[in-house]
Amino acid sequence: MSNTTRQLRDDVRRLVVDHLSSRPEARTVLADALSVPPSSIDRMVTKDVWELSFALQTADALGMRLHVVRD
Amino acid sequence: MPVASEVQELLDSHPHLSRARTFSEDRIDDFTSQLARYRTDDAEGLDVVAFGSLARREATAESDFDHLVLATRVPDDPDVAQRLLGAADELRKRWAVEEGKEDEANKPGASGVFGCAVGAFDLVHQIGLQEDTNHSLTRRMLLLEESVSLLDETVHRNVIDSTLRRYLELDRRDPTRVPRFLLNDVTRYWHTITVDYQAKARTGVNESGLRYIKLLIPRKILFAGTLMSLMLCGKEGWHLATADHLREQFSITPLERLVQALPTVDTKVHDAMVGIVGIADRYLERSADEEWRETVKKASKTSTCHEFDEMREHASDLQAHLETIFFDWDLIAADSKRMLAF
Repeated sequence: MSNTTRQLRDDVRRLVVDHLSSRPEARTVLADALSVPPSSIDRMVTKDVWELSFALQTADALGMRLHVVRD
Repeated sequence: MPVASEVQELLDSHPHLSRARTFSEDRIDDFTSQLARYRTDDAEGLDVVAFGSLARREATAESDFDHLVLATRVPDDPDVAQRLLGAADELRKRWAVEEGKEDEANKPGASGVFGCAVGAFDLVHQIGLQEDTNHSLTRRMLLLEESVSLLDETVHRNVIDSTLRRYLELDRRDPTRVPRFLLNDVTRYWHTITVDYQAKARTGVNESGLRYIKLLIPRKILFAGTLMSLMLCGKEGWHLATADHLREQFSITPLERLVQALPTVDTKVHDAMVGIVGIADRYLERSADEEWRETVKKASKTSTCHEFDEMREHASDLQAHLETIFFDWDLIAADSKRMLAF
């Protein structure tokens, strides 16, 4: 995995976690979208590393629009 | 069955084994409590059984959730087994999400061995016969060697008990001797998975350096752990070849079975046992790393890959340690030589 991919993966995760912490209702929205109980979302955010595809899936499920800009 | 305190201390002193045990126990407790609502009269005689690293208490975020519905009777409601499989699949999905993985992660393998309902009769009463397929051999061996009940422990225990009694009844040997029939089937299973690996590698199906390393380290430890339980039967101060005693043996993990005699062995064998625990710990550390797994998957015996080569060296050390334990330790060396070669 390249450093760019790793950084993208971690940045998308951070954005999703920030989104969830600032919008309490998003927890239920995401749980419904992923067909899991809300308690699974609580456990999920404690994981330091997510797969990139999963991070993008959660961002999409939350209706987040991502713009990737390369320096 | 508790293991000796020295064995427990050795295992606890290895951080990756210790962490994986905690992770596995938490996951088993969670799954058991989630499935508790399915313990109804309809589900009587059924169990949801998990296999593999979860049962060995060596699960990590990268582990699969291999499971079966095990039935000791035909349920009145024909849909109940399907409901249990659906519930188990929900648990698999939850596990994936909680580890930050897509839903496809941790799905039972495509071999067809797991993710279905099986009857205990087919596992227990076809041993060695024409209908004893690779699938039934695999399920029976894994049920004995690395399985954990998630719904009804009584069902799980009864099937293990029946399986052991079947082996021992057909064998009709003195319980102070190694149960040869069971030993032969355990060895058959080991040979089956080694041949299966080579056949798939030859055809290019699922060719994977990771599969090779898994064969050489955790699968070999599984085999050796069971061999140890069988070779110790009837030895002074050890268990007998009875269903009750062997069920106790199979209630501890393969690694615990393999090194259970640690407090009683001489320095050379002691060092070999300690070395094996260190290798198991190192394998767990590396295999819990997604990037390491992806790298090793692409490696082969003919390519150059530092990660793969490092683990092959550990596998070579493991082989040497096993040879020390099984062929240099007086207590079991004679039986090992007599029963493992011819």
